[in-house]
Amino acid sequence: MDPVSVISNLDFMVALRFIVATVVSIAVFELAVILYHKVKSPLLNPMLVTVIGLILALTLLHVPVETYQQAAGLFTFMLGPATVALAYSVYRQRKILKEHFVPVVAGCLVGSIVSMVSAYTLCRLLGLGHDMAISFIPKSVTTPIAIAASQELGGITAITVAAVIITGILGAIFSPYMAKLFHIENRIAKGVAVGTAAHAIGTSRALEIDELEGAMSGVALAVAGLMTTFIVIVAHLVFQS
Amino acid sequence: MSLKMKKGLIIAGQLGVLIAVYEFGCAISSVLPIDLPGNIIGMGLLLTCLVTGILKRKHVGMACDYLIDNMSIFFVPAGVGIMGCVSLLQGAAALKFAFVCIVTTVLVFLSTSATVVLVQRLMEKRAASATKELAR
Repeated sequence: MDPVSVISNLDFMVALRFIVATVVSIAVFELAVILYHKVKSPLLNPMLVTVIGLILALTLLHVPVETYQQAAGLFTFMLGPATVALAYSVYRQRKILKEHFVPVVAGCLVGSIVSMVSAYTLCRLLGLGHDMAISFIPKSVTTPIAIAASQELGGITAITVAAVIITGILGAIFSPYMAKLFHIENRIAKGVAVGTAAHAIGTSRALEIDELEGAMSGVALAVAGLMTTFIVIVAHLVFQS
Repeated sequence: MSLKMKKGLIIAGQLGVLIAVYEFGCAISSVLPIDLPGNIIGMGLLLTCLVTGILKRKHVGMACDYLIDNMSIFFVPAGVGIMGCVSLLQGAAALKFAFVCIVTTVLVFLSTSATVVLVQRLMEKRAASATKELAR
């Protein structure tokens, strides 16, 4: 439920749930951030810790997931303006982006194609069904885009969202290790790779490491999202006719 | 008025601008014939506004920094929602699910960064040979 509909049909219980879910989520997230800064281990990614904490709390208190998701609609709604805000970090890095425009776009294109093809192929090789494999295709882009693409292809939305979130967390936690392991020192290449592989969750981690890497990640998340959308639409049109 | 309160009010006002840009993006998205999400259109709109100077740093800057710094919290409800599809992912399916996520993430990370580095080198080489030509 988004904030506008909460205000427009003032129901006491709905409003109470909305406030409790919002306050509790922020409190748990803040605690997770404090823990993250104290322990300084990337494994304790604040978002991952918050999700696990909330799942435990909901299970213990026998609250259905749907009830929480409806009540915490403020966060889902704010995902929109937060994605829009990424334009500001792109704007601040416009000079560097202009200088490296071709490599950045080429990286996003190759990454998006590799993501879609490898996700589908791997699923089929492992014996997962067609519906499941299709739901994995948009797994590297941010949730609103992935949901739209998955619906266009006829995938299972819940599976797509799960794959997107898990991919984001994996990318956020392991991207610095991958960069070290494969000797990638180029900050632009690292940023574009994080944004293409792990969308906004990876970007928030990249921003912590370095402003340039974060901005490139933000650019890549938008460009890769656009490319994925276009490829899906084109593929859909081709296969339909 | 305290400084902190002033800052809060400015951020709230700037948030309003961002939400308006987002809603405008959604409105455009609903009339477009293709399935382009409103947030991506909104992002393009804000970038255009900033580049052309319609919106300046003082109109959106602080709220943007605030949202970007805390971006991962907005994914929390979707993350909690994974619990809702546990029934679809049990036993071997869950392992396969994790395997696909891990392998593709590594593949995408590597292919993307390798492409960026490769294209950069190619362009540098071309630029270097072009200057050599000019020197001749």
